[in-house]
Amino acid sequence: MSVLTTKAMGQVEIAPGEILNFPEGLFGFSDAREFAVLAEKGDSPFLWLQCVTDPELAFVIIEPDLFLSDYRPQLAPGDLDVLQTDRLEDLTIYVIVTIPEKHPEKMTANLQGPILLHKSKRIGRQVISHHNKHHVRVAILEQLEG
Amino acid sequence: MLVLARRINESIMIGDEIEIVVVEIKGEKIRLGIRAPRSVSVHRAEVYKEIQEQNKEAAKTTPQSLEGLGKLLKKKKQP
Repeated sequence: MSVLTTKAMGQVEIAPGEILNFPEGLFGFSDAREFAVLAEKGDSPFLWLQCVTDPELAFVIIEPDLFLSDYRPQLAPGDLDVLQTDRLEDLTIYVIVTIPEKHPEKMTANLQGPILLHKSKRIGRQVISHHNKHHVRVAILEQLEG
Repeated sequence: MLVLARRINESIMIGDEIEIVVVEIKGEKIRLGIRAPRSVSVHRAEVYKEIQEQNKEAAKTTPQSLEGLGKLLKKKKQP
């Protein structure tokens, strides 16, 4: 076990097997190559994608199935190569959530740049979905209001 | 920035493996064909930059702003 300093939860113990390798980092954060997925306390649907090497760098993520019924990113050939698979079914899909400080209820999800994780191989990648309805800022609560 | 003049169907090579062809010129619009290895991701620059910017915005989210949002989401889900 090693101790990870996090943005949201102070110091957390994690097993080496919980560290995910992002060979290309994230868009805009190409130096951030190692992350851990940490659950919020209680039964919150939100998770933190915490950078291992920078305690201040962490993203709120959520499974898109919790507010969308049929989300499936449209990818280019080769997009999954880094993840060592050719099947989306092998992967866990998350989307990054942006929560405005003053209006948290206006939180949005980035459907255009989902995070794909191959949990057993411990590899992650942010990809770009080419679906014309997958926008960068989709209001999460509005989706549930239908 | 290197600037090259090309006609229709002419192309440029970037390294040994990436070729960009001018496929069509129509007024102000130019269609480009890109031949690149699978490992090279090709995106419109504005899409790429928008996701970069959104990641930066998302990284500003504070742990405090999450409080209560999980419950709100669940309430909306099962009214």
